[in-house]
Amino acid sequence: MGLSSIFAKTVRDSRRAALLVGLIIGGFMFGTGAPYGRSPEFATVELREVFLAGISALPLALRGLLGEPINIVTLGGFLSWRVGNTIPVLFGLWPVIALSGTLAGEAARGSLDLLASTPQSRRSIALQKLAGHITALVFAMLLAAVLIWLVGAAFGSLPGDEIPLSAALGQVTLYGLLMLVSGSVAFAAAPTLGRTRALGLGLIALFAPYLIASYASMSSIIDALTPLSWYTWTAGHRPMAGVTDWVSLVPLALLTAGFLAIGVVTFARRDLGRTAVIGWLRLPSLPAGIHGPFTRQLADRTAIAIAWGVGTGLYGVLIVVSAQAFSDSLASIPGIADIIERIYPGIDIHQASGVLQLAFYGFASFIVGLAGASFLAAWAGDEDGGRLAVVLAVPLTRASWMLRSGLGVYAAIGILTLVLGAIIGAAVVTQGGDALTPLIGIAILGLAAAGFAGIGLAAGGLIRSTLAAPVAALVVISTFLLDTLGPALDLPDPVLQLSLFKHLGQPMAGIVDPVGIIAAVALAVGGLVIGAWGLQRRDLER
Amino acid sequence: MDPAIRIEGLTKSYGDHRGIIDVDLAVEQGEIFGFLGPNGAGKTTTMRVLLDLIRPTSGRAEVFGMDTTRDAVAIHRRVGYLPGEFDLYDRLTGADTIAYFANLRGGVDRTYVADLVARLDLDPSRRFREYSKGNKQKVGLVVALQHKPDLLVLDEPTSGLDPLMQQTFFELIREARTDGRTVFLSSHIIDEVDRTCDRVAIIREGRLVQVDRIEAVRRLAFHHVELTFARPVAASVFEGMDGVSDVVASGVAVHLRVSGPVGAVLASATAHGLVDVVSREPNLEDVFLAQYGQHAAADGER
Repeated sequence: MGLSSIFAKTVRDSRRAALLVGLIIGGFMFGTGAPYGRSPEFATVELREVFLAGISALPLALRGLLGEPINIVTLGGFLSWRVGNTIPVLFGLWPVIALSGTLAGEAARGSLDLLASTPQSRRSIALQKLAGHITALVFAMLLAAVLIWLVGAAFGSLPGDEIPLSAALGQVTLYGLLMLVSGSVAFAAAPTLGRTRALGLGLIALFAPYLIASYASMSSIIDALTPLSWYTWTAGHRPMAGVTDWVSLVPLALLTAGFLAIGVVTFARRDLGRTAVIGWLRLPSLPAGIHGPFTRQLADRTAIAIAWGVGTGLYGVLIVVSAQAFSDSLASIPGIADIIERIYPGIDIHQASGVLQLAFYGFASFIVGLAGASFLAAWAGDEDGGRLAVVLAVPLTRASWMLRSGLGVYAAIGILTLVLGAIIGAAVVTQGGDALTPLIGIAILGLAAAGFAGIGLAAGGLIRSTLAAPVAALVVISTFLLDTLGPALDLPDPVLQLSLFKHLGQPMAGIVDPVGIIAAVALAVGGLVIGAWGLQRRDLER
Repeated sequence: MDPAIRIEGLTKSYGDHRGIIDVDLAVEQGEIFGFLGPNGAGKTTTMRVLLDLIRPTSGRAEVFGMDTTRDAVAIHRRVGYLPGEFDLYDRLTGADTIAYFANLRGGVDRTYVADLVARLDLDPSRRFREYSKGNKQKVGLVVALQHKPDLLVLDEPTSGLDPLMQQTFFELIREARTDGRTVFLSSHIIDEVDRTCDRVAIIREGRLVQVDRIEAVRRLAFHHVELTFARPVAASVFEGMDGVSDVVASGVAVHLRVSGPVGAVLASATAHGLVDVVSREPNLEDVFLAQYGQHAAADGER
């Protein structure tokens, strides 16, 4: 089944991911739509308008990263704003990872040589792979559209709450394109730059336009970048909210097609698997790290840790340089100080540290957590790639290897945190602020990431190392969703308290809760110890 | 003196998949022991149990009298291992990779390492990811050999090596034997195994089917016999005789394969005007292929 062509095999390989993405998007809509449709707080148009007025009073940065609320007095509009605006970013990871690796990853493994030796042109191989991925994406979006339509039918309680299938399809067309455009950047870059760099560029293309659109109101610097953001281009296309702007999708579609075409042509022309050496994209040579598992792990993770630190730090710099403008815009809103004091007690929005807590901390914790998961993915390569069998043939206990290599992962998170702290600290100082307070927050952010990585290490040691990264990523994503969507979903307090970030205080603003710190340390230490114990008890993979 | 390897009633299952079943085996110190079998027969599984990379489902394995599960680290001090499939650190050079494993072990003689690198004609300055398959294999061999281990466990060590390097490799392991060290290897270069190994085991579908000295294995196997007669003789004369198979009559010659004593065949041939007889002892490859053949025949009957 599904092995009749490269296209069919690609679809076959992507079917689980497509099903999962479609179901999870539907699940998000269901999880948000059900309480909205049934909650007494949204039972009448008037109540909904009160809610809308409250939201509209808040500046964009305080609304989270959800964008402009459009017609949120209807179920479709509410879903589109509360859940929909984050969907392309969260699920855009799928095309970025898939399209950066579909050809380059296969080239690195050597399997592309075999494929290219069949009577198929290079262009045909690339096009079939691409078509396979796009087919899977279309399937996922169609599934999501049907589920969105069902949510509208099941939970709509007022006239206008129903979500026509055509509106759901219009909305998922936007999601699909926003997801695909970042993947297309990765696809265009992969034949030339290789999988890892293409993945990095794809991730930048995924997050940067989203952040620009979200924080444009905070400063003129960010606002000047909005013409580059496809989230800004398409901000008026929300069919679920009854607003369409199909024309805005045309440039996005053309851009996507252009990147994909570049990828196909480049792949057809270049030597298979041969990547270009681009000096400015090369990180400096680092020590080889051959003294033991700790230094080996750290040496292999250091460059990417620095890259994560620099990327996240630049995002933080944007927030810091916009802090004054942000503070001024808030001051112009009557009564806003009271609202902020109620929601975020003890935060001084006139300080860069306070603005960083409001506008940086949540998303940065998500990014740094995912960085930790990416280190675990590379860590797992030792066992998955067969290296561990050679390493453990030396006089070294499994527990010792696990502890030392796990500490190497933590040290990489430490390097990321140091780089991030250095960049943001410098930015705060140049703005005349106190650098120490946000630095404490960044250290705690790193500690939380180490805690999440600890959960992954425990799973990796106990079951198999390739589970470490997915488990850690799942915990990071779940925590992020719990923090951002949990209150809107009206989840019970004990569930909301499961988020580690609920117990860390507001550390960027200098408010530190020791409970969360102890929990993060316990997760990091306990996870590593459990992982070491588990690895001693099981068979090695391969 | 404890055997280098002692395996008793060793079974390893992977859920529904067969690994190895009730394997008993002893490898004496100072011998080169060949471990042969078709792909998926259980060679790698056996070797991974010896290194404690996987644990027995039942039975036990010892290396130099030490239990593989309990005394893994002590065993690893005395063992050099080359997996059948491996990938090392892409960004490290060959020299860095070798140095890393030397650091993990400690006490490695750098002069000997340099000698190994030179004999295997390895350029250690290149990054591992840039190496060809054969050069990666050379790095793996240096890592396995560099500390002059008492026992070498080598899974398909000649894979990817060119014929000259295969010769060098077999020289190296013959030298190891001369030093009193033990080599346990699997290989598909049966001709070299035939010439180099002292003893051999054949494993098929997870079970050991033959363990003996090379000469004995050959002796216990069949002979190729070519009979020449004064006039043409029908194949049916010999077909059906005990131990006789693959009878082909061609003019005045009859080719057949005989397992066990050839007396009855010669007596019958003499009665039909035998003029000449040529008998060739099988080499290890014949034995090995015969095991495959029996397997295929058994499959055909099923």
